Amino acid sequence: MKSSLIIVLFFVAGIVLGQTGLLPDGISFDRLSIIVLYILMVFIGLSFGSDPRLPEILRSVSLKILLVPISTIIGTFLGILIYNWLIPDLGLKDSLAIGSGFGYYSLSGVLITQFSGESMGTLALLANITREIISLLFAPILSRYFGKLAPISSAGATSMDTTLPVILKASGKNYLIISLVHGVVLTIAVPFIIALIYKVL
Amino acid sequence: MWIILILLLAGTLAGFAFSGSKKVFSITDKATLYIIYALLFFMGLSVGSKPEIMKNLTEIGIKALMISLFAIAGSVFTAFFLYRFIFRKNEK
Repeated sequence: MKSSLIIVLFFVAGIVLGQTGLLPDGISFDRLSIIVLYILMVFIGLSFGSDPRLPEILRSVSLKILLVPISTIIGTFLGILIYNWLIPDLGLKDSLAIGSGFGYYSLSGVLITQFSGESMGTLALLANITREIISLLFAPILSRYFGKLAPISSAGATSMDTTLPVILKASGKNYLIISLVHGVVLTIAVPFIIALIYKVL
Repeated sequence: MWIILILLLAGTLAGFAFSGSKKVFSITDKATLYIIYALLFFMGLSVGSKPEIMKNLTEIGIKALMISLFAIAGSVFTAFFLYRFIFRKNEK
């Protein structure tokens, strides 16, 4: 949670500095951003692959447990399709891609900026931060009224780290493995689904 | 943009090679965070220097809230049925 706050502060600091117009015209961070994004992808892979919890998490994957992240993906798409039908101001591509951040706001914000521009990237960042915050605040209520998987699904990719403590408190320690597997699968799915949406749709 | 996925896979495979090494994990995990800080700072810079985005920030915020509510509602909806028909049986 502390690092989430720092991430947001860096974004806000960038906005403030960008607004002052102190930066000379014509400087483009786009190229630099792409290179740093490439480095980020390698490091996300490295830290994912070397995560000491990963072997045990992979060992406990079963078809039944995999149903949980699959359900989250289908449910999220369902919600986004309904949103798109009610409020058709965003294209289907952009709204599905933003939903496919599954709460992983730093990566989805940066990726969608590259695919679709700053406006959509900012929307993706804010929508996915909001997903994390709502999941943190409402985990107990979701668990009570919609079953013990509900706070995990709501948390999306964050169910393996930032929202894990509140999920375990709301749904019980028995849901530790499910929550970890769910987070791992969605974390790795985010870049693939976003890239596929912009390439294929 | 396939390069993004290829780099991710390459990183993951390299990470597997260091599987269980707490040192590699803690270094790369920390490095990842710093890179994210830098990228979000750059993203802020380019957002802040675009008046057309800054003017609409409130509108973007409201839209973001709506999208996240629909995304959460949809996934909670399917999670409810998954729990009710498959997962609840295992509990006493």
